[in-house]
Amino acid sequence: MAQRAIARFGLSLIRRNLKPATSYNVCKKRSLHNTPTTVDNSLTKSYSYSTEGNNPTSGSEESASDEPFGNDEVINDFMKFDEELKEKLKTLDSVSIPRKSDSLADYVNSSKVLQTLVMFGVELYTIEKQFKEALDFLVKLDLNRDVVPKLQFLKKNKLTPQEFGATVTKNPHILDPQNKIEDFEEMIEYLRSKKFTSKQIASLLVRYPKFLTLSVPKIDGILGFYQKLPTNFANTIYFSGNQLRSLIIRCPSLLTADLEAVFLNIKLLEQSFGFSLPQIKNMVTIYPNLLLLEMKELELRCRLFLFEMELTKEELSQAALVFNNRRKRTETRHYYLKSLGRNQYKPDQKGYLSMLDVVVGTDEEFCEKCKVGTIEDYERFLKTI
Amino acid sequence: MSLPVTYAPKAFRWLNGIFAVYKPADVPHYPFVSSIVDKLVLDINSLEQRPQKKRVVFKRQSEIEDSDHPVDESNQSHVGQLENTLKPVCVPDWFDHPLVQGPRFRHSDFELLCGTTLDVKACGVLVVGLKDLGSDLIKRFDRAKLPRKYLAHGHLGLASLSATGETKIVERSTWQHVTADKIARILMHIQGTHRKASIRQTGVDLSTQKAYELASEGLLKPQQYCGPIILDLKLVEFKPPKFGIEVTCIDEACSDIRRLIHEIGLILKTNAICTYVQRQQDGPFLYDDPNTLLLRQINVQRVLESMTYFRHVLTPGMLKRHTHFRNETLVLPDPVSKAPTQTLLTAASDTQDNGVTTDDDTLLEELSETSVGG
Repeated sequence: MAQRAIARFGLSLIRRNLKPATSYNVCKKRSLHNTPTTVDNSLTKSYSYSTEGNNPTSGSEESASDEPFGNDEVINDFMKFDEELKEKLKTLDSVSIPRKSDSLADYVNSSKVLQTLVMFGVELYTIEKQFKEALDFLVKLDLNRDVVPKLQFLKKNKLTPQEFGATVTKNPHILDPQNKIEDFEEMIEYLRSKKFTSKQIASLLVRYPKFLTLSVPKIDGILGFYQKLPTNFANTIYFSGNQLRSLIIRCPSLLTADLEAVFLNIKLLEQSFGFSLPQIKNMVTIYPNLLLLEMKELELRCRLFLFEMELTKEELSQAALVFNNRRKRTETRHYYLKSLGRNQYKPDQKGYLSMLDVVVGTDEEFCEKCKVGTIEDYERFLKTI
Repeated sequence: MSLPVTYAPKAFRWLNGIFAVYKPADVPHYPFVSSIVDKLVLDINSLEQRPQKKRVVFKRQSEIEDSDHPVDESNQSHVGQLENTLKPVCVPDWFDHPLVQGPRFRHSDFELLCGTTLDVKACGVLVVGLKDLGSDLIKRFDRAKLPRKYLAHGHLGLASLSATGETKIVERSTWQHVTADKIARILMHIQGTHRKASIRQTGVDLSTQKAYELASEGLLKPQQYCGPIILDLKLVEFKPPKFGIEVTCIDEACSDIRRLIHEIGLILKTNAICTYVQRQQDGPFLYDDPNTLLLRQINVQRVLESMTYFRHVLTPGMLKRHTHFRNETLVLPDPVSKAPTQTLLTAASDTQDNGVTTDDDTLLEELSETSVGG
């Protein structure tokens, strides 16, 4: 009985062409008929009508509600009302986005582009930290116009889709719409003209994608600097083409290093310690990251090897990989060997320990290779230093 | 060996307490402490993390995918099944994705508090407290002033500006007249004066029964800072010109140990510099305990194990606030200033015991005689 009364009531409202509810926090006004309207606040329920602007129904209206519901006019009104409501419901889909933000996390929920980047494996938190200027264009990217052509370009240069995330985290400027694919191709062509093989270029792409957004004339100058490396007393170290190429491939961050710092490191080796030019060239070819160390750190490490461990410059220049390990670690290992009396680094002598065995690797590997006991003995020694 | 913790938030909740770490020499204090936290952060981020959060979104019936969970299952029966009806649905929150937020735990989540710090040049046990419970225990541990044991090596014949081998050497002197016997006697003398001075500084009337009881328990210590108090001095090795001593003391910093070695040199009519200071014991925390961790041994599992071990070692009585002096009227002697030039040793020799002569004065005379001759 109550349901029929509700239906009749609804129809009577439709006939009056009432405006639908404009706000969704609709005030629950009771009708004069005192029908028990079941209040359901969830929007899954059909729209609730407000009784504003309504003439009070009188008992006489009830008789007019016996018409069938399938009137065309009524249905049209209903569908018009439905469309207006649909448009208003679209606003529900949008999430509130801040106008200005430091992080991309605020925009991820509403941006399909960022979601696809995350699915590829791009680390948005590192980009926020290291490339703050890149946040601007990343939010405004368009998937089909910006991202897809660049991904295709990278795939053409032998980059798998699994590596796409890592390359974008290392250099999000690849996706900048201002950096066009023509510029990238120009850079790759320049490298090919300098006889870098396509395998080498592909490895550069994966490990050091920053080179794509560098300018070609600047790279030309930097490569020229490294080919004829100036040293302290107006001498130069010459690298052949193959040697230079292998240098750059093994240590690509030489391309964006501070050239003055590199020069000062070479000056330190030549002037302070007295390495000869062939020795320096040998050291740089074995371990090019040596040039990127801080000057003070390089000095301290050289001192450790030359004065504490009493290596000759010739031996150190041939075992230049020892500069790779942390200074404190090599120092403690040397003191441990000294306390056992096993610190023999000359090849002719008995009980010779090669520098690479001593310095390179973890502490467990060091104990195994040099046969100085277990790791517990080493830790017991560490607790006396 | 307890079962390893694999769930990171659980490990984070448990990482709350006090433990000990071995600090090597030539490492500044703050970088060392922050590197402990860095290691813990790295390790805890490698464990299993909490699941990604979800958010409620209203979707049209046609757009709902299989992966979305409905919010209210009971409501489904009388909800309209039209094409455009909206349904609330649980969807993974991209905001909380690990690649968007980064690692779940950061350096700033851990609060590491140290009690007494060690110098750059000193090595040894460093007691350290993590987060709330740890900070609370560290503060109580400091207030308890448990005795500490140091091992210090000295080198006779040199005097430098800072009593170490690092600064400029200012004086050289002969040391051949020094024997182990002389050093031992001096150490006994210093130990005796310190113990007497500390008892005097408490201000308790020494003729009472209570004073005897407290002294027998070892609680007769001054309540305020009176400078370092040496409880025990021992000569451990003597290979001239190098010597090593073991110091048990209260309220002492590493610089006081170095000054002590310098003063020993002066009393012996030579000079001495300090080449090595190691804190071997800090209350119940020992340096050769497998639960005091080296930096290379720090990870979540071992830290948790050492915390549980030391919780049993630190018996409740050790950190208790002692109330035996609360209602006592203490008669304190003249306060000892905090100036670094004055130690209890010199203070003790200044204050004169009325009419009490000791053998200490004659001892000093003896030593001076022999050195002049030799």
